[in-house]
Amino acid sequence: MKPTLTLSGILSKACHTFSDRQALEHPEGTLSYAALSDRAKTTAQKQSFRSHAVHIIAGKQSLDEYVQLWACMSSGKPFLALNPKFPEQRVLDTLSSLENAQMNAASVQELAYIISTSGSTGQPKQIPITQVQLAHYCDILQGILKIQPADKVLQLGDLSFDISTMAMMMAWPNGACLCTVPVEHVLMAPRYAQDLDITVWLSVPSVIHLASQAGLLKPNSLPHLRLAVFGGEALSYQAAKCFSEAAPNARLFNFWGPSEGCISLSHFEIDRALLNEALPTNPDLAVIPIGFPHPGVEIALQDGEILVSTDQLTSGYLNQFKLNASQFFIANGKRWYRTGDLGKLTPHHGYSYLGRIDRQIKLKGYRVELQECESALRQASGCPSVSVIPIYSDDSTPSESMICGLVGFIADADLYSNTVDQIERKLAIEKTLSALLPTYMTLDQMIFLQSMPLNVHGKIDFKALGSYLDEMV
Amino acid sequence: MNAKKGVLKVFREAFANPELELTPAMVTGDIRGWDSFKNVEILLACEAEFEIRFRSKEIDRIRSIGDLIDICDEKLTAKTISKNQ
Repeated sequence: MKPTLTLSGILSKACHTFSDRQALEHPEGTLSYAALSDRAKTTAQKQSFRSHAVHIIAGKQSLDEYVQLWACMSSGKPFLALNPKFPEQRVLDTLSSLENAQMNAASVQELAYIISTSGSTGQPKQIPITQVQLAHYCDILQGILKIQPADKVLQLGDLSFDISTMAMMMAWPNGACLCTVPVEHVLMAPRYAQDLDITVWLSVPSVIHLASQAGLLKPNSLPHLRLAVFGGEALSYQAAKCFSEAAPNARLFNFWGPSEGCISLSHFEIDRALLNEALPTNPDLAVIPIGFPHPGVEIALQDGEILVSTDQLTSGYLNQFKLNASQFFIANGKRWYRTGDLGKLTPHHGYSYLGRIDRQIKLKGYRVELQECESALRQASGCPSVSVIPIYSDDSTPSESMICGLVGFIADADLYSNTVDQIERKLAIEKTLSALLPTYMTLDQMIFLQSMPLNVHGKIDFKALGSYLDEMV
Repeated sequence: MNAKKGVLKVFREAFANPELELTPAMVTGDIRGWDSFKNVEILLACEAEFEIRFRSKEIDRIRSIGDLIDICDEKLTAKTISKNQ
């Protein structure tokens, strides 16, 4: 499938059609489409911008960095956004990987961006995405969401996470205004949405948990929202329900996809009628489905793992020949990618996300999906922000044979500070869990946290939970 | 209520440390456990302490303890003026 316009064509058309409309509302100021484009042209003429094949963005989220992003996308210069929270070694590894990448000049010129993901091995992987793919993604998004020039799109993601590119691609091709929130105040997002009359919300589900925990997501507190889009991690029924009550006029969407497939590859529009009950009556809804593939995307399951085939797939990780050979393959004349996500096809709601393959463990001889334990714990505790990780029998390198039990974390600030209530609640939760889960999946420990630790992308930080557990031991 | 004293009270309660001392230059991360979730807790506790509401444009300006005290001070002054009118 080919996009209707090139990426630079899309932005040029937006600038021409919506020149006086506001393109960016940022703590440092606001810019119209014309002003943003003018500043970007000046940036693109600078020697420092022109001298490198790939433009590196520090990821501080300054107004100037948004100008640089527009400059990159409108002039055909690929960008790679870092994150100030990345450890120094990761930045060095990323930059050296870029220098050593065996890309010819022509293939670099076709790129829109390179995204650096952490990867389960801890070694960052660099994923190149082309301008054609990103331009096509704009068409896909607009086909689903139908963004209007009057819309104001909330931008909460850090620039090294492609959910931020998604926000830009929602807003800018369609004349809408991209509204950013300072990194340190991202969890105040509902307040920003209220004050700035935001109409389109985009976030990872963890933001809902934390904002709701802080009391910022009261029923009907976001009446201006007309679209709410979630992605990046599993969206629980409780989180979707909580948000649907806060934003009663919004259409709700759950998007899914690996960065390797240019941001997202499937979506599910959540019918509000599905959220009527306090708890999901259909177990397929405990985690909101990821639904149906975007146009031009094929999804298949192999031993429970989700495989995808589409022109939107990256050409492969930079300098990772072995990994490329294992993750990408050709079958029936099509190129496929093994996502590492587990899924199943439901009768009515398309595909369901069942967790990461690396979060599927073997415990006491049984295959256990940690996400299934989390759904049960969420239901038993009534708390949307929970997590379950394995306990290893010694402190050597964690391996599956060393798993001797499960620990559940519940983020609840009130219970965290009240140890007497904790004992009573633990007993009640354990009782409910025993009715929801088979005996081999019951939790050996339950820990109350003030808040769930999040990684630099705002998703639950399982490594931090593991370290927390080690410290307790 | 003095903004500086009120903010100190909020921080001491938020970090459960009655000995905690603040300097205007301190930013997120400078106290153990001071993360983005703690920021929300602190802002909401300040709102309750001073009976004010931060607008998003004001939150934009809060990068350090000094910024927070200044904005609380401005809002308390504005509140006193509007009460006296």
